[in-house]
Amino acid sequence: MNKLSTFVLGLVVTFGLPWLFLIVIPTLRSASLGAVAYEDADGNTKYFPESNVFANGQLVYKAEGCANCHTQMIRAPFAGLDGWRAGWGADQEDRPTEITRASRQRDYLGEPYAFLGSQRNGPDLSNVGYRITDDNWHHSHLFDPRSIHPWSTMPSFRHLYEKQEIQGGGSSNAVATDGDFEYVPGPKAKALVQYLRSLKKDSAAPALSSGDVVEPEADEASAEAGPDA
Amino acid sequence: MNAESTAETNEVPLELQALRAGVDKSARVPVLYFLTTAVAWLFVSAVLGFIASMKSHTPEFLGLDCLYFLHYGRVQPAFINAFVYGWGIQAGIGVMIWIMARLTRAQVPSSKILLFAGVLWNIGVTLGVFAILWGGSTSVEWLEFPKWVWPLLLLAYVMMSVWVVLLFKARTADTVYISVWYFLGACFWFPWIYGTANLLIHHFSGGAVISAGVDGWFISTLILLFFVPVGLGTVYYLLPKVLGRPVHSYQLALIGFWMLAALSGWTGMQKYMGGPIPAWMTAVGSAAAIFMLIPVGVVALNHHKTIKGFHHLVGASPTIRFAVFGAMAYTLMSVVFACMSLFSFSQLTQFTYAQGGFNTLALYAFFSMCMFAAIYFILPRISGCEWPSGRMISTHFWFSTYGLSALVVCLFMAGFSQGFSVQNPENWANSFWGPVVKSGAWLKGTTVAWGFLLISNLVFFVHVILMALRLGRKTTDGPTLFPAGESH
Repeated sequence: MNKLSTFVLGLVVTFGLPWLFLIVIPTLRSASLGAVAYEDADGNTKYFPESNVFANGQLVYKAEGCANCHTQMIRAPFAGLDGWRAGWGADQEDRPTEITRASRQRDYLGEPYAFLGSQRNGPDLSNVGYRITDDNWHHSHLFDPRSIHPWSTMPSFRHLYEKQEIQGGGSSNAVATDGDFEYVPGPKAKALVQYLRSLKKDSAAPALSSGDVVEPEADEASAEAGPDA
Repeated sequence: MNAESTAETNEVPLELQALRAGVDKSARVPVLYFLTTAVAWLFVSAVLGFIASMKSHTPEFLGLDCLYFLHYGRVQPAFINAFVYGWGIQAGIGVMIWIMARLTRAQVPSSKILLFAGVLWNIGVTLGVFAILWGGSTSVEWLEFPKWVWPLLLLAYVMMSVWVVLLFKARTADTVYISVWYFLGACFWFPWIYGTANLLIHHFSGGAVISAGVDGWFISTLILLFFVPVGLGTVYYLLPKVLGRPVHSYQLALIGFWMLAALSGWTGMQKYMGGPIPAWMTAVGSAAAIFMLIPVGVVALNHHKTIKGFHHLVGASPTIRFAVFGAMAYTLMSVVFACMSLFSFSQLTQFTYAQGGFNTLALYAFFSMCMFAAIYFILPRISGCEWPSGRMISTHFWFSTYGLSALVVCLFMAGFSQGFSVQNPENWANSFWGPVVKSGAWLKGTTVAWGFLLISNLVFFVHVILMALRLGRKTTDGPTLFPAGESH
């Protein structure tokens, strides 16, 4: 193997194949992914996904590195028992009737990057918007996680909270008091909580056939659900 | 045993010695710069790694309000980026340039420009690490530096890798050595991978999920197409060099190289198996990882046959000992990679500390130990003196070994305890205390391991600085070996 040009050609071919077929082409195809319109059982037009996440709060999630401990991905049954965990889907009943479905590409539509996560040092957050509906719970938890779960190893995000003097009866959204002072959520804390409340990735979804890349349909007539997956 | 000096000086003609001296002199300034700053970054990242590991079980460690930026979500990415870019890639460049210069017998041209590239690289990494701690992290694994950092690093890297190619083009040696293919490969692959990942995640994203897939691909190909080639190329150089005998089989090496080249680009997306990434992409990654056991086995066989009969040198020669450790860790890391790519095994290891265990095996147990082997070989040749203390080398080796073994075992055990808890059907209605509480003890073990690694890295850093300042032993009685009496 003495010629540089032959060697480089070999590298280009061997690496170029996966680069093209695994990375570039899927990226290009995925760029045209849009919301899918479908008809539900009553004949109403619904869209999948139903809602988007709160973008400003996601910036705080990104800056604080929450994805280092929390995932946002429900695994399919062959990969894990995520679907069976109580409260990890839209169904918040004590005994849900169906397992939570696996996450799909369109669940993350509109986000600049899917923070699927790398570790679960804390629960999955894809559907925490269904699980926790009280802003104050989130604020108390972010301010001092161990006041809610003594075993928790989550860091305290009190740097997102502002200390101010208690005036009158005190602020209604104060998370803690410290003598004459109280802690209230700062703008980043509020944005983060709004984002967490918007995490509802278990919207009803039509059964799609293999290949999630479907042209966004403009009119209802052609927006048929594909064969059952 | 004077194996190293025997291979180098006693039977070598005078012209070759002069040629080598010329090459070493031309490489001195840039290689010394890369290696010393890399080792400094290694120490810095060990400090960050220690803090991250403390924070993983005791979040209120250093819990002052003014130190809020040291929480796990910021300090963990700061640690891994400092390790990968500050230490890993820079050490790889320094070692590649010197070995390439020696193998091609070409002098390093215009070393000032190379130095400038190195300074640019360090500026980028420094700004990036500070930016992560100050809240500018992108939360894209191993690409957490803010968007404006990567063009700087890519430019610096291209400048540095152009030098490696220039050395190749200026070669006067007849044969092209195995290490040369691996190094040329690393120089070629890294810009392609780094540029693609950054462009397609930060700038021309095809969508949220596919970007996450590209990130998974980036992490895997960075390991397999930069760290592995640099590490293997280093071992393929050092073993024959110190032992004074050639690599066992050129043919096996050829197979090992091209299979690595062909398979690695397909891997990476399996870290998100079961998720929103199209299933064929994760499956292809798993399949490639399992096929890769073939080239790994081939390389292991080749190394084993090369060193057969000389195992006693592991006792005396620092270079051989670190290189053999690294080469064995490569085999282990690849087996673990294949296992973690199996859907069944991955149920326990996905989204757990086991991933950290694998990263440690790949980046530290394999790559960094190979780099240490190379640094112990290279520095005497560019600073004109021998390592001052065999005892310090021994401390470095043993504390690294204890620390790494403990770290890898504790991370995998923590990972399994998390995995078993999450996968236990009886925990379906429990809050998440299971994985947290059950991994706690193992995480404390990782902190003890980091303590050992901090000590080993401090000792190494001091030792390297002494050599860089040319304060080593000025002697002609051969290289510094492990203290007499150290067994195996």
